[in-house]
Amino acid sequence: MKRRRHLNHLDEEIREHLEAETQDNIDRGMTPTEARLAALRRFGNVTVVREETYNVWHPVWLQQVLQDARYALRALGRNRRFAGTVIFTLALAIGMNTAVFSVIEAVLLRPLPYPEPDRLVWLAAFDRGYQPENDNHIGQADYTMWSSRTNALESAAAYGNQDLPMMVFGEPSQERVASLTGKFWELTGAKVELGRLFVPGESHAMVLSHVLYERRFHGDPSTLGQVVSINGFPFIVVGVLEKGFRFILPQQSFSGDQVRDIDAYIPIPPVLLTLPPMGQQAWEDLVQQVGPAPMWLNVVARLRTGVSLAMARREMDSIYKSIVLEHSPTQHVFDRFTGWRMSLLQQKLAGSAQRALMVLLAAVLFVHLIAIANIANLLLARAAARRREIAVRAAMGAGRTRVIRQFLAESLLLSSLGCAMGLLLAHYAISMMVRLWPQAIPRLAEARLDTPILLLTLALSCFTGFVFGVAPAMFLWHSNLHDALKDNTQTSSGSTLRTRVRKVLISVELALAIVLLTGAGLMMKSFWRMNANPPGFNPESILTMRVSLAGRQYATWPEQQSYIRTVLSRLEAIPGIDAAGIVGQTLHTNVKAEGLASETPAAAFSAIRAVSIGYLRAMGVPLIAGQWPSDNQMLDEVLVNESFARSLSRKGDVVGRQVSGGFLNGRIAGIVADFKYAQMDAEPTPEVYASYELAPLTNPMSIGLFIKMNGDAAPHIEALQKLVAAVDPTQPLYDAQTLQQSLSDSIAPRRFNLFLMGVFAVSALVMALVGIYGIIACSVTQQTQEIGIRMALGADRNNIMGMVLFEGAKTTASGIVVGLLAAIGLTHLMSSLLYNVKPNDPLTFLAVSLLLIVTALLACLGPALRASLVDPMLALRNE
Amino acid sequence: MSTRGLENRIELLQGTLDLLILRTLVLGPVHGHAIAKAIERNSEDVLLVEQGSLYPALHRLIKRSWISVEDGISENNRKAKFYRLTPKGRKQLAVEVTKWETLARAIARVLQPTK
Repeated sequence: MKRRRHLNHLDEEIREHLEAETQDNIDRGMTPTEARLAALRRFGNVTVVREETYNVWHPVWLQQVLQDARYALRALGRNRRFAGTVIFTLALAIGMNTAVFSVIEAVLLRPLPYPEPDRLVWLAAFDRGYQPENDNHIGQADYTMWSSRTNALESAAAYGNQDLPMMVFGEPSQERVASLTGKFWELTGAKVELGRLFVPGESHAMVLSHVLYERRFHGDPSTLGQVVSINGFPFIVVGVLEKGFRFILPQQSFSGDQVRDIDAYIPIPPVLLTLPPMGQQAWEDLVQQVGPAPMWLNVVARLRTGVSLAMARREMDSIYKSIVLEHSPTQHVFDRFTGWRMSLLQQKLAGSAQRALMVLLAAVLFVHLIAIANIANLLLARAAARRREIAVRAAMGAGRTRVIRQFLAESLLLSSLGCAMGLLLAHYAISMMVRLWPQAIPRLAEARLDTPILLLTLALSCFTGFVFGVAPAMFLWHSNLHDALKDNTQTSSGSTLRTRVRKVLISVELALAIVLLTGAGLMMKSFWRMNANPPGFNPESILTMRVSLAGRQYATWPEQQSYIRTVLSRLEAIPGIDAAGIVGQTLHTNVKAEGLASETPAAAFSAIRAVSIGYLRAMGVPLIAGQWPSDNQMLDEVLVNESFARSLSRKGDVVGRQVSGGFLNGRIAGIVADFKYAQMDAEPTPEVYASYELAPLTNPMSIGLFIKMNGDAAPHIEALQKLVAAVDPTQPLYDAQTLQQSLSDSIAPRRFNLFLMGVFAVSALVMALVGIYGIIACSVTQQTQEIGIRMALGADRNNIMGMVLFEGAKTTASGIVVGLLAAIGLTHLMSSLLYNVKPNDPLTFLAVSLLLIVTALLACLGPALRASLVDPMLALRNE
Repeated sequence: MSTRGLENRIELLQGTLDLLILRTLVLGPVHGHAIAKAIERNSEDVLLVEQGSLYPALHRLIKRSWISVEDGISENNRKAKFYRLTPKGRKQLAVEVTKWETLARAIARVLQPTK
């Protein structure tokens, strides 16, 4: 404000000054005109004085920057289409990049939200024979034995998750409960908002997650001290965890289980921690007396300071060997088929997501490269159009730095607008990903635009702006400006180099696009393969729900069986339901077939599924050989699937053989087709279906209900839920959905990858098409005269169109060839993301090439038509 | 006529204009034209001040709060801006004078090393 007042009087003061000086000169005897001129001479350049005085108050650089920015805004305003395209392209590229970066940062790079995360390790056992890539979990006796012997680990904890029925205020619900032992709270740094954490040795105490506290207890602090029943056992609520605490450790999940957060924490009953080993009948009996405990444990531990992972592994190896030596096999789970692995917790969590994220990162970088090539192309075209402007400005005395600064101002303006829009886009993209696929990748929910990501994006866009500003300016400065002034036609032979550069850029774009399209195409084909079902199996029409029979009223078989029979008979009585069945537990074990030795140990390793006969009918699976069991309960007859039969068929016919293993002992009545009931992307494995009535008792008994609905007459899902709930209102019913929904949930990570890959591929395609359209349209404009001459010499419109299309086809073809070669090399890196599709699937390659050729030619069609409509007279006169 | 005798005049060293302005204002508030005149007269027309350059200098001094500005009436009865030395400016003048004298002595010693 003060400065404005001072400056406002400056002009008046200068005038006064000049008048006073003129007066002095007149007093000295000059004529008024002479006096005025002399005064002006003495004073010096009024404008310069004014500017310098102005500069006292305003720094020069700021003025010039503002001036550059104003000029840049005006220049871009005149070229809205150019500016819009560049900003949009940049925004798209930056948005996608930033979104993927922030996912990678959250999932792979950000330290775990637990104290000293780099020393946390994860321990698991695995089967050497059967699915060695899958982690099994450690038994409680083993945990107790080695955690007391280890020196390399300073603290360890074991936990297991179970879905258990919880009764709160007389209302049942199914909650995910983690049972803990050891220093779990210390390892995770969990703190309570209310109450306290339970201590080792305590039993029947419960700590609530903040979510459950809000959901089931309405955030009422008087919840503390209340007694809640879990699986029929009373638990006292002793504490509520802080809102910010997140349980992100690996969970044990059974097929068909949904990934979800832990709702409540209870201690493993101390008596169960010693003997007998888990999973045995004595242990089951003990669980019936003391309360719920998980079958298997997950183990996390913290390395002692200075102890490396390799040292801890060596120690674990010797402890494991001594446990096997000192104890009988009934006392521990390790046997010669069992191995163990120890890895850093962070790596374990990132594990499966890492490869997929790296592929996505590569894809998004490709999109970024295409965007850069496109923008470079646009800027080259624009720079060519500005040659004369630059030449004129240089002739008027603009220095090189001034010209470069002008270009820089424009490109920085473009890139910062693009960056701002890109960040906005990324923000929405991230929140959409987190909402749509919260469980697709562990820790995805933590993804957000935070400072390092923002800084990275800003640096990236400043760099982009700088390169795109300086490069064309340098390019122009070195070209002969004198020629630019003389040259008043748009075409000149000097532009051919530029055109060639632009064509190479387009080819590169097309090549990158085809790599992305091939990747997306392969993933799409995998997706399609996954959705292929055997005839008769229609997951859309199958309704599933789950119930967990718990509590003392279901402590023996007759009660459980009577519940199941009641539910099934009530369901089957409803018109519109074709069949209904249940699946109880699944036992993975070796199945021996009489008179047949299995080919390999793995082939005989099967899943024995405890089902009711209605289950296979509800699934609508066709019988391939043999017959359905003759009695309706299949008590001494079993069914096997195709994979089972295939694994044994070389040794003879399977139907009619006696099979045994686990609780299974019966004759194979028939073979059914392989089908997917839980995990859409799992390869079919050998399975045997036996009556649930033969399976051992468990409590809680988790039951999956499968109901096949009959098209039009199908009853409403809520009505069925009510009907089932009415059988026993104290048993919570959950996860009611169609089998299709549950199957598609099972491949959420793949859907996530496919969606992103698809978005990247489509953006790449669109950008490449815009690029090829731009270059062809531009070259048609440049060749207007040539076209005119050709027409004057007798070329007809079809020749001209052909000429333009041929030019487009040449560029496209070279791009496609290079792209296909690159794709062949690169797609094998993503083979782990594919299902039943080879990385070099020829059909996909062909389809993608065709797609690109057709769309590229369509993009050239517009300019080609325009070229064919050139009026030769006008074109020639234009010279 | 005004160009005559230019060769006897000396261009001001960088920064010395500030010193001269401050020194001129010691005697009391003066307006712009009068400052220019005073500098020329007191230096017996040896120092060449491009009169216009006075104004950026004056604004610089205002910005540093060494001088302040006030409205007044000039000797020929016109409204004019009068510049006045602030206490801070007075202190600064002492500093500048000392600096200048040190410089002048140093240069003199270099030019007459025999002394």
